Amino acid sequence: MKGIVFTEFLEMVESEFGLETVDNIIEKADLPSQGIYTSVATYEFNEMVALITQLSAEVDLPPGDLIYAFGLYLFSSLKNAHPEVIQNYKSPIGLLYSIEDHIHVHVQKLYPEAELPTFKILEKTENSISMVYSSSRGLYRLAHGLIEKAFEHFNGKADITYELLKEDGTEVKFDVVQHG
Amino acid sequence: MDSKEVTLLKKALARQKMARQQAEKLLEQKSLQLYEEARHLKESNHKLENLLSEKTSELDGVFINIIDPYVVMDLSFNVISMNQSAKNFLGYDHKKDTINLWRMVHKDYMEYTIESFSSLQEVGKLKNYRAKIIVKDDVEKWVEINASLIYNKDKQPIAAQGIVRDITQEMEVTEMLSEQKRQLDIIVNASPLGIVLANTEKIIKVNHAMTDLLGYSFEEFKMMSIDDITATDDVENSNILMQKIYSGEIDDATISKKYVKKNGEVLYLKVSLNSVKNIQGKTGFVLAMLEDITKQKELEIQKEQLLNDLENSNQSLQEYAHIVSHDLKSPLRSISALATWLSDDYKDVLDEPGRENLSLMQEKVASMDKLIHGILEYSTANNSALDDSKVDLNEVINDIGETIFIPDHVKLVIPETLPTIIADRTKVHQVFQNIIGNAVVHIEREVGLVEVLFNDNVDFWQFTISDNGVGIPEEYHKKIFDIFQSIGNNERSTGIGLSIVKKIIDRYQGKVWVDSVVGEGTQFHFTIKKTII
Repeated sequence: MKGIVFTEFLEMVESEFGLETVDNIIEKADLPSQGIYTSVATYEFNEMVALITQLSAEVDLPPGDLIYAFGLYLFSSLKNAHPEVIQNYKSPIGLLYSIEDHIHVHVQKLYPEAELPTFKILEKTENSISMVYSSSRGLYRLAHGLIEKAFEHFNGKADITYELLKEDGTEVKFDVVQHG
Repeated sequence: MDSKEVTLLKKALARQKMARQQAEKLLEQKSLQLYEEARHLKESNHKLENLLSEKTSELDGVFINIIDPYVVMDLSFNVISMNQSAKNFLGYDHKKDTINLWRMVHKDYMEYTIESFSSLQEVGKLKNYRAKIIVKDDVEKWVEINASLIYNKDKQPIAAQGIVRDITQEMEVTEMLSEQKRQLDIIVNASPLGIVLANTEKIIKVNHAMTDLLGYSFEEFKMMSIDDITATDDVENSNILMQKIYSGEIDDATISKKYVKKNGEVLYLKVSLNSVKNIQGKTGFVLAMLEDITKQKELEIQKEQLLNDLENSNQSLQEYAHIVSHDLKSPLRSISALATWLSDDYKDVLDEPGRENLSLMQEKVASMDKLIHGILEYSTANNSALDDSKVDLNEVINDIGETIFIPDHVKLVIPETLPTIIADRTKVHQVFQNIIGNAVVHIEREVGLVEVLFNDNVDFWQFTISDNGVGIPEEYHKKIFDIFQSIGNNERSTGIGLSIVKKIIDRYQGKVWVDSVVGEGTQFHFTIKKTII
């Protein structure tokens, strides 16, 4: 998993729960990297799982909600890191529609070894889109947070519903309808 | 800040430092990787550059070595590049002179050039453009150009390249040929003879005279075969002859054939056929020259008819002459017998004048008998077939000397041995006898001499019977050869003999004439055409 996800996650933990919580979960998770992350490197996904599990125990919140919250947070970080990517789009649906064909292509240019989720578009209208998230990581709640924040960025609102096509969350269908 | 917070911050700082080092290391690795890749790219680039320059020089080589002139021009006809051959041909060098090909196009070919150029722009290619151009020093040249467009990387046409072929000589030959063909056509069409060129299947070409002769148009002729215009009863013979020509058995032939005109009339044409052979020596075509001989043919038929009629009338005339002479002869013989009896039985009773009258009567009867005999001979002289064989003239003359009456004072002489000729013995005998017979009785000198002379004149024998007799006055020289013409009042002459001579000599395509001086002598000359058995 890309280093930026780890650094941003720890940033979020620090800002939400303080430096102590950050230190605690790193210590408790017993990580091969010892919690030393740089955005340009790549780390084991298991480390993320361990960090989330530790955070969930530490703050007594379900891991899913934490991942969703991280999604909301990550959108802003990515927007700050790569503003030019977002500027290419006029609408959130346009942005969602282009994840696979445009945004992920750019990611792959910078990080050829990155393992990215796929978003298969099932249907798209001017104000709705339905697509299937699929990734062995099963971080669909992260995607949920990112999508929601995307609408917020374009000053829009949307009903986002999802349906697990596989129980472990590796394949999830999102139905997004924009209103306002 | 309490110590716990400090510891936490220190730990966090340590993690950040480590993370920075990690990132720096990664950066270094990436840098190295980039350097390696850049170096690799440079090498590849270098290799590519070498390859490119090799290809370029290869192309240059091709460009120079193209034997035909090769020219590259921009789309405004300005020459950008040309090979040596093009420089030699056009007389200009694009490095020294500004060459615009449009300005070289001959004015008669400008429109065609515009059309060709727009077609080149449309399809990208131009094949067999043929035009006249004017090269250096105003020399006119014929060129054939195959060209194609050159495009840039955006597929936009930027130039055109073309290979030029000098076809000046070729075109001159073609023009000359077409001029010759035109002249030939004039000759063929102006010919009064019908001319037809045909193969086994159909007629290929005819001239005007032919369309006039048979009334078919050129187009109609081309749909027809020789058989179609040949009269039905001549088709088989015509085909046999054609077969002989096509098989090579004969090269030419002349026949008279009937043809059918478009309106159904039949024409007699005299046809000269000639085989036209291909390179392999086989007859591919037959050339026929036709002449209308319908009129001649009609005359010929008329002539044949006349000849037949004449023969028939001659035949009946001859029969008539025969019968008449026989019928006349028998009462004559009776008169002669009666006169003899009268003379024998009553010679003592009759006085001198009576006896004389009786004798005169007998003489007149004898002369009439001769006259009838002569008419009979004359009528057969022309008709009986000539039975040619070798005839020794010395024998003939000797026989004559023995059979005819020759007065004692006259001598018949052959100064030089006569030849043996080929002729009808009886007729030759008649000729010599009639002339000699005349000669010997017309000599009043004390010593008479009749000579038979000859001359070998290549195609003819010339004979002369010369005497020293009384001679023939000039006004008779021609007349004597007509029937019933004799000179004076000689009892012995019937006036038929020489006309028979003339008839026989005519049959041997000879001539007969006479030289004579009254009181000195006469030379009878005649010729006989030599024949071979």
